[in-house]
Amino acid sequence: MLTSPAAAPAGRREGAEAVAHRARRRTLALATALIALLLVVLASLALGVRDINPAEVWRALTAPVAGFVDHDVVLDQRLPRTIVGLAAGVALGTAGTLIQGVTRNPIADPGLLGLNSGASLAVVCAVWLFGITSPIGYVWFAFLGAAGAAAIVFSVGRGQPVRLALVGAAVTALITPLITLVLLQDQQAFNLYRFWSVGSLTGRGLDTVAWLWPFIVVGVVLAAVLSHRLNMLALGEDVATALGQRVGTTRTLSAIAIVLLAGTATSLAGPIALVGLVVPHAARRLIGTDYRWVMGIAALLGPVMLLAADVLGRLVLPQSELEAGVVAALLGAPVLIAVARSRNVVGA
Amino acid sequence: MTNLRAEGVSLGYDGLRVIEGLDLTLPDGKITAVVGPNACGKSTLLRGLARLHPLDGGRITLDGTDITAMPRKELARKVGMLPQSSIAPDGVRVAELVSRGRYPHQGWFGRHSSDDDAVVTTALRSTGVEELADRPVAELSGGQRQRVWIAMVLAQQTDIVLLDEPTTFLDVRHQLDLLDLLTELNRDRGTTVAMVLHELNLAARYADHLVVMSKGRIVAEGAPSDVLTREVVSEAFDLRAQVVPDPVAGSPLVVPMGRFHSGA
Repeated sequence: MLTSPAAAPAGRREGAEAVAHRARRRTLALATALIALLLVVLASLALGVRDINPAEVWRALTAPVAGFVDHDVVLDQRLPRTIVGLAAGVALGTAGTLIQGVTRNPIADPGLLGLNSGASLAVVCAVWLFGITSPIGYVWFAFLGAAGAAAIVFSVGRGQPVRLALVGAAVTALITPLITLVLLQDQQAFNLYRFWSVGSLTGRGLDTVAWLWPFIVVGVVLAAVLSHRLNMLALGEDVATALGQRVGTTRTLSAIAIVLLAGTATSLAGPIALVGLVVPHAARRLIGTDYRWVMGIAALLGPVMLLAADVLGRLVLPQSELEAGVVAALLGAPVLIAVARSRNVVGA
Repeated sequence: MTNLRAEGVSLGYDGLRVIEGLDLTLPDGKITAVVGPNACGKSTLLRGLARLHPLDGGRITLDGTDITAMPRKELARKVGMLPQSSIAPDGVRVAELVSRGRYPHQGWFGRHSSDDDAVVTTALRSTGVEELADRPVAELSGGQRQRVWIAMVLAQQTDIVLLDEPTTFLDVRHQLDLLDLLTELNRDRGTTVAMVLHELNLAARYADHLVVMSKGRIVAEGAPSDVLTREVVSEAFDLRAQVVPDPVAGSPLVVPMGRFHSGA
């Protein structure tokens, strides 16, 4: 009709070029994220108070010599925190993308929805009431706390972006003084919480990861399955429904995946701020709006940001080390401001 | 052909009844326009027909089958709906948005087939937005954007297309443009079109079947020339008006009277 016969073939050719361009862009983004991940993992194993060259890191991993300090440092100290960082980072990147997608809110993250404060309250209660101080013990409490907060926020928020944010804020406002109350009661809880609440990759060992990795796997698989549904939901709840999606199912499954992922990340590394918020924005910048790709790239960029923060913390303050949670916040805030200033804040 | 029918349908919000016991059959392969004053329940009715709003009573059938008994995706392969509340995510490009209309035809991860590509290209071409395929939707004008949404619904490949006030934010030229486009789809593809419209005279001109609603019920329905009388306008809209033949299309033209202008 309005398309003139002469214009049509030109339009098609442009389309084919765009498809090729998009494929190139995706390959490039994927390669960039993978290389960045490889580099931060290497840096995390090699850098610190004692710098160890990459060849020696490789030997430590493949043919360790018992009693050789370099190898012991790599295997006993840096490998565990790197693995914790990988696990928590993947969980945070994926959870953040899911949360922003399902709430259609570009500033949503586990903190905004009250999950972190729920987990924190459960952890301090575990220490206070049951005297549990081992990570393996309070991990489950962190989980329960996150799930409890999520249940309240999602059931009252009913998927309406503003309502979710408000309920999340209310839950956080309610929980924060409760945490303070417990901390004032119990010195032990206070000491543990002080360290835990900052967010660190060194508090928990590989045994915690060994317990929790199945949750991350289930969460990531769920997120992958949900990503195409989020593409429809981004067009509005009515459009998604009209396209044949059961939006309620999408929400419920997302909430489950979010609790699994954010709960695990919080259990592993404490309530780390901004990674879940910033990473999805960075991923969109690299790859565009298709959640199937955003999810994958965010899963790679999550550990990049978290491990980079951890390594920087080791280098900035070599003696005492700056916690990864602190550095992540310091790194994330400017990125967030840059995102806010740019025109391309993606609302969905 | 598929036949969408409401039988004794009641709809409401939080216990407040908007529509009570309404019957309506969308004529096959025709254009139906639903008009009525604000809050008469016309959008709610359309949402009910598309299963976007739960029924309080009665049932809606597609070829005799209750639509609530169908899987949602199956319904979405037969009935397309463009709601008012559609959102184009920032940064999304035209072709990408249109290709999301393929969702009800896809599996769980939405793998794109060459079949999908062909359907999307056809949808882009028949709505005249093929050249815009690689442009971000956010950069388009209102008229272009509405065409893109219609292309998305076309990519759904349904026999029935429902549209909730598709012309509301368009200027007069783009309103005509869009209604011409819908007429063309109806004539070329035999698609059954049903839409809620605000503009009475355009509804009368473009619809084969006009439904006038007021206070949750149908005041009159049928061919526009039979339906749109002075009495019906007065009853539905509480408006004094003259109805004259549209000099361009011959359809009824409602010329409203106000307190200061009451005509000869």
